[in-house]
Amino acid sequence: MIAVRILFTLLLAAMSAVSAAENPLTAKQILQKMVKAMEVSNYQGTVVFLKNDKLEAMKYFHTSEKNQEQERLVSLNSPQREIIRNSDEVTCLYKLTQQVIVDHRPYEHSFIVDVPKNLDELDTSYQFEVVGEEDVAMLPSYVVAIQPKDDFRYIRKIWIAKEQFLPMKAIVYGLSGIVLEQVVFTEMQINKQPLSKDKVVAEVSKVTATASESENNASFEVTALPLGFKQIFFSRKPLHQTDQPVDHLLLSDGFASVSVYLESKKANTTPDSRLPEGIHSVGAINSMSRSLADSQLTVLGEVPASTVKYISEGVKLRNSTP
Amino acid sequence: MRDEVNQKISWLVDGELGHDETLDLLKKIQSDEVLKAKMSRYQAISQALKTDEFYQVRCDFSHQVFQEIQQEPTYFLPQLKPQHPPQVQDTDKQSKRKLYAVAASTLVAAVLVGQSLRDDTAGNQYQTVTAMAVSGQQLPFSANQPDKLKQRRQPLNAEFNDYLQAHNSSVYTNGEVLLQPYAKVTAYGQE
Repeated sequence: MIAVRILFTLLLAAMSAVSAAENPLTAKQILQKMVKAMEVSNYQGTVVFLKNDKLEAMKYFHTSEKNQEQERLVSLNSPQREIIRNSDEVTCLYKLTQQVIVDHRPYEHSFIVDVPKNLDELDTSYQFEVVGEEDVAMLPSYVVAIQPKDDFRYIRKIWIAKEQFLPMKAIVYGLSGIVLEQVVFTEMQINKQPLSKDKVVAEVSKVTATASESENNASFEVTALPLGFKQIFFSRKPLHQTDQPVDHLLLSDGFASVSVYLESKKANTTPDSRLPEGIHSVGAINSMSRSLADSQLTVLGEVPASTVKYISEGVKLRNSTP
Repeated sequence: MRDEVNQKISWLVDGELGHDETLDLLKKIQSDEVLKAKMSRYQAISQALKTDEFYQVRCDFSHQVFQEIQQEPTYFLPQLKPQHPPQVQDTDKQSKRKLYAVAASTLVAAVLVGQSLRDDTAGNQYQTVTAMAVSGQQLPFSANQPDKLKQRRQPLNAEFNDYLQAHNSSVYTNGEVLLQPYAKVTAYGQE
């Protein structure tokens, strides 16, 4: 009887092995493994960013210890700086000017690529597909395409190392297929032990955390959103060199994010510093500015120009008479 | 006479016949079936001697290609006008043509400018402006160009930069230096 059981167990194991070989991982499974690997792995490398029409090469370090992550970027080119992300706090040190900027970003998780944990929620807006296998930085990688189901967002591809399940390369393509943004590792190594976490040696006397407020506190409402976009963060704080508060609502569909800003028109600003009305583009970022009563509305995000225009046209002031 | 023709065919096959004589010989071959057959045999012998391989080409092969070309439709492709040396007799005509060309170009330009101005004032307020990085470096033309929207370049606006900083962390990786201290900026101690 025992022999039969052992035989049966061996048969099941063999069948599952054959089944695994015949059923390769789906795109979603690969992305989910990537999200997990990014959380728990200790690794470092050289990464090149092509964003906002600028190219930057940086050293990258990721440390994970006791469920606490730290990302660290060290610039290879001027201006010399070090950027550290501890949970939702991003600190940027400019070594030449001796500036320290502490910023709270509860809605971001990685400098490399942000992928939501629950990919099933994105089925209405995107479809996921493994479109091939390529080497990046000499590591065999899956190529996962994230194809939008409409023209409100960009096409993305992520190259994920087959063994380590870490993101090696990510590209954002325009609607015509042109590369708009790119992040790519030129070399990467896995560290068996977590590196010692870097601490900012700075006298930061007080840091004001940016807590998310209720969207109902916003002086405006967004009446028209492309499918899949949700309101995820709202704050009211000064953004410019004045104390004038700006309403900031962040929208996201999981991959693409759009910010809606509303502030009263400033009488004392010079025309040069004011953002002219219309559509503005830099790299994958598009923005649309227009007047809304006595306020200036700006919608900005890494989405096509037609999307920021669509969202901005649906923004209305609360309690405003038509 | 026949020997002389045979000799020329041999030279032609070997590529040793002069240009004018080649043309004369090809004309003769075209109208003489015996010479055509002979030419074909010479080519076969030459090919077999040189490559150990032989491909029989039909006698009317070139004729058929010619017929196919004749049946091809004509495509009018734009071409650059050849530059002719200036001729003294046509100076007046040329200067008049130039005058007409300038007048026509001015008229077209005036119509187009007028139309664009009218479009701008008639509610086309969503004018696209392609921004540039803070450093002022000349960037390659933006890849993201909505087809129906006009784009104009100008330096990145300070307000745009503030919004970008609040939107995501890309300003830090980009190395922008005109960041706003809305979070917290302080001089750090050189301990």
